[in-house]
Amino acid sequence: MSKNKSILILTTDFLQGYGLKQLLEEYHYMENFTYSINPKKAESGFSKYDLIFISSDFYFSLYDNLIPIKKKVILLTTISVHIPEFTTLNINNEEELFPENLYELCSLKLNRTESQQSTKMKTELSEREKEVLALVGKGYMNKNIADELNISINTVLTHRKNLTAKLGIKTVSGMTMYAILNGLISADDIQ
Amino acid sequence: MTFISPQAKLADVIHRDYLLLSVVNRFGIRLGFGDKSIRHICEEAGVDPEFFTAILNTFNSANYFAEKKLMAFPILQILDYLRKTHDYYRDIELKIIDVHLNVLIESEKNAKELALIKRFFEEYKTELLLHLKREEERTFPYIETLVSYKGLENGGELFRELSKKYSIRVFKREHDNVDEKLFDLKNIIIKYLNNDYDQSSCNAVIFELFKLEKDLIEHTKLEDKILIPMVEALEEELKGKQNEQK
Repeated sequence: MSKNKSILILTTDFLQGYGLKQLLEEYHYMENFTYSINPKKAESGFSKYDLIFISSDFYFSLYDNLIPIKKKVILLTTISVHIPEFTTLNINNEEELFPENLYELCSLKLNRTESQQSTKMKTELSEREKEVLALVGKGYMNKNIADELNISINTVLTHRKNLTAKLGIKTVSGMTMYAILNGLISADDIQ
Repeated sequence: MTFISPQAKLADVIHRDYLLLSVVNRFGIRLGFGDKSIRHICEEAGVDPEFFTAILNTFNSANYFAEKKLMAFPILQILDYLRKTHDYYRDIELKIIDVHLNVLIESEKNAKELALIKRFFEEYKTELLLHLKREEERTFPYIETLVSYKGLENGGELFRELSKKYSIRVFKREHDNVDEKLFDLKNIIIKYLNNDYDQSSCNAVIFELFKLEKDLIEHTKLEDKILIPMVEALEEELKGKQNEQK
């Protein structure tokens, strides 16, 4: 479960933007993303988006703003054209192929930026994480976990955050259940 | 997810989005819709067709417009719907999950895992019921009182007294996420369950958990995005009245 990615869609009409958003939302890989369509002060806040769709109308006016972040940009065009600076997507493509082309492009762009970031998290738990999980399951407070394992509270918090990210479990009860199901603690250990 | 209007036939709506059925029932409208339009059925049942459709549309998350539309209705009407939703959780949905869980547990008597799941759910149920109770005993009456003050001459005065004890800000602060634990339970069953339990009983539990979770998310959305802003506006109005009278 990676941090929620956000997508910016800048189109001249709401209909085009909304249609694109609907298509993207149907794509399994992009399920939990957040979308902004034509927000008012887009120019100032480009860096916070992971992927940006721009219709060709904005090409010239925003060119200078887009070049620094061109890896995140997909330019929507009405004909098949190759532009050296930006990835393009022809919106007049055949109906049947369009969604797939769109999704492939998104995967490509998003994976590329992701691999540039820190190494992807494996879903396997480290020994330390298992220890923390067991103590959480037994009802220990963060401070007590820190004392028990001889680590700082901040480290405990980091481990807990990683546990949530790896397992997809947020609540203490959930962690307790997982710990019991996986034999990390027994049902009699919990309070 | 389709956008619904009062002219639509309720039967058609349910054919397309059957999950709306439990929402429809909440208004006291039962199956056997015939070919009648929503407007017709609502008129027969004494329900406001505009409000009914707005709620269904919000549930479908069809668009954001429903937010503004809903805020145009009287607070008491919204409160009434929220109370009915609470009743649905208490009297129907939580009980169904219990039934399915018991069927699942019966299917394999010695399973410690299943006992665990049942325990987890019991804890969750207690938490949820407490959450609902708090709202019904504190927040909702507070809002009803505010509304009654609106028409009174000394409303501002009375509000000043009341605001010393409670305000919607307190509710906002204490409004906890009741769907998180549910998500974890669901996730654990889907991902981490270890044995060959009766598949269909397991699935039945999960389907109900999905339904409850979705409903709770919508319910919380209504409270956070519609009810709270409306109450805040009402509080401001009464505060203004209070200043007028000084």
